[in-house]
Amino acid sequence: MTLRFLARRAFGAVLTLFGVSVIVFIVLRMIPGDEITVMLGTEAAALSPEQRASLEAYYGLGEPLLVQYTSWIGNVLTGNLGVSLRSGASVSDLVARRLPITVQLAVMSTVIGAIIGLLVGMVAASKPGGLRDAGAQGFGLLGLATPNFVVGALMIGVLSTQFGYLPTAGAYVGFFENPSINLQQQLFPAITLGTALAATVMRTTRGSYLDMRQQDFVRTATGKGVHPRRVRWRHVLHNALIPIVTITGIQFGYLLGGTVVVEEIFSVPGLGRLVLTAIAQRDFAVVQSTVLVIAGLFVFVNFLTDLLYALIDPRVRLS
Amino acid sequence: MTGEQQTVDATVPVEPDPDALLSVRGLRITVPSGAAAVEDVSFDVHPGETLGVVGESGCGKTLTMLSVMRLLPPGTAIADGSILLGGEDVARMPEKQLRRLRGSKVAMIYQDPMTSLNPLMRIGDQIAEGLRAHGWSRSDARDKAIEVLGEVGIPKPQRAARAFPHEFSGGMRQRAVIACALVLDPELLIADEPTTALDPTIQQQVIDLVVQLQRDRGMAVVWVTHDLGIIARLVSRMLVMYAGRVAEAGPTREVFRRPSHPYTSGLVGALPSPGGGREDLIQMPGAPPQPGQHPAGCPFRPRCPQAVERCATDLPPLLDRGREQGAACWVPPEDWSA
Repeated sequence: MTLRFLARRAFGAVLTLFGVSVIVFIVLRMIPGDEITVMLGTEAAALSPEQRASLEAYYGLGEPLLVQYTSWIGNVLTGNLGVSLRSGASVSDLVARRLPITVQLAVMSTVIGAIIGLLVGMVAASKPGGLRDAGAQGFGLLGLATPNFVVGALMIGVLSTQFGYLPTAGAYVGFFENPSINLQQQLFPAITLGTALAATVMRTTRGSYLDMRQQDFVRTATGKGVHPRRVRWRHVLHNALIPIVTITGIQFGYLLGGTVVVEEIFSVPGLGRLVLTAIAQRDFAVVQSTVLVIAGLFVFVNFLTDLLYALIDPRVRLS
Repeated sequence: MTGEQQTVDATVPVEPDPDALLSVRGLRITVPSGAAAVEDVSFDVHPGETLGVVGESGCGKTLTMLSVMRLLPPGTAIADGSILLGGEDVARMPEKQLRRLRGSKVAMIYQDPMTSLNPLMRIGDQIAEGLRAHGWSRSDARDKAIEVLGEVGIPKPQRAARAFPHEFSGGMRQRAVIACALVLDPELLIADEPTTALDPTIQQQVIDLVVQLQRDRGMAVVWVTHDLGIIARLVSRMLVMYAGRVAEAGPTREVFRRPSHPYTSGLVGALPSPGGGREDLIQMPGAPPQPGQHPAGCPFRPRCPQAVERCATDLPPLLDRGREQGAACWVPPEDWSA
């Protein structure tokens, strides 16, 4: 891992985040309905032009877009993510409260999905074309084709009607307040998100494993008298891991920002719901800063994935 | 002669040779489609001997030798015949017993050194792995791996052992592959076109290395190649394969001096001059048939300048041509048209 590599990655990250900030900023302002109208509802019509102008000035909405953008970015760079127009709460506080919840959900989903996907993928690849392979492939297709909200709704339905257990009952409890209740609350959304991930990981594992199994170096290892179990793990799986790590890393990144639907279904107060609510309220300050944080996380996770690569593959370390 | 076919020639008796290190009889290998890619192949390799197996790509020479280590690709299987290695039949051996033989009794070096090493494993570990599989302790295996790296001519073996394959050139990698194969002192080394993927200047170095190691260790070597130059220089006895069968077998000198199969004659005739130039130019009209699409009679008939009527219907067995030479051809060389 050279310094050059790190510098290149850092530059790419900055560029990505800059792009995200511009796009979010512009798209938000293209949504019809400004925050004052949304905030005051029908009463907004009763505002005199002077009142509206003074409100706009108060929230900094009257400024030219470029000025608004630079003042936002300037604040973000100094660690100030802004203030919610709606509640007056600091966005940093809002994000800090919800980030651990989302990260926990993403980690649990990824662990569940990666373990299931890896195991099922290897079972499928152990005898391609066999019955187990067909079963695993069917699982993969189903997992990919079924939307999260269907899996989540089904799970809630089955749990509540068959077991009388409602995973969404009660307010959300943090992990450090009560780990057992917290894990119960997170487990089912994590399984829901993990299913789709498992399907993706399974397909990648199967393909990559079958590909690696045919490589010449696997034959070389067998020809040395190495035990088949060691050949499978040390030679086939180790080499097959590279694409599996890639896909898992990307999926984990998505989970950090893309769990909106599942958070909503299971009433998990994560980052996704924060953004969703803020969009509905045209709370620009919350939306743009939170999306930027999510993008930053995504870039960071990708960087971690690259580091993981270098751990697995010595060829990456040099280039 | 009452039209009854003479049986197999003098070089390969019907029964396996008890003195041979490797004695293959009636080997038949089928590919996933069920067609035979190798059929009725028999030969012996004696301790310390050098055998050459030649033929065009797809003639079954590599499959034949892979089957000796039971390393055939998935779906490809030994359908018939026996492969006696030191008196034990590899073709019917349980996996566990097979593992004991692989590496210690018979080892192989492969065509492409770029792909035959695990890219994620240090060179030293890959050599030591074979030793570990045969019960060596970790530290003994590591020391031995470094020692063998030195023997195959890799400079600074201590450091080279810690390198990954991508840090090595093609020639160096092939030396590492050779080290992997020889670390347990096998009695038989199968060299499956180990020079084809290398630069011409490196080719000779690798050949010289194998020859020198063979001399030092007294092991038997089978050279699988389409390069007749290698055969002419290194090999005492040779086997010419065509379409999965043995076309001709015999002492190299006799086969080169008096080819008894029109295919061999074509191969030898394609050599520009003995001992000079690039010798792997095989110029012969047509291409060998694919497995499962063999014509009736002799598989070489469509390309054969000497074919007679009988060749279209009857498959010739390996017929004795004297001087330990045998050829699968109905027409003896003295009857060939010029």
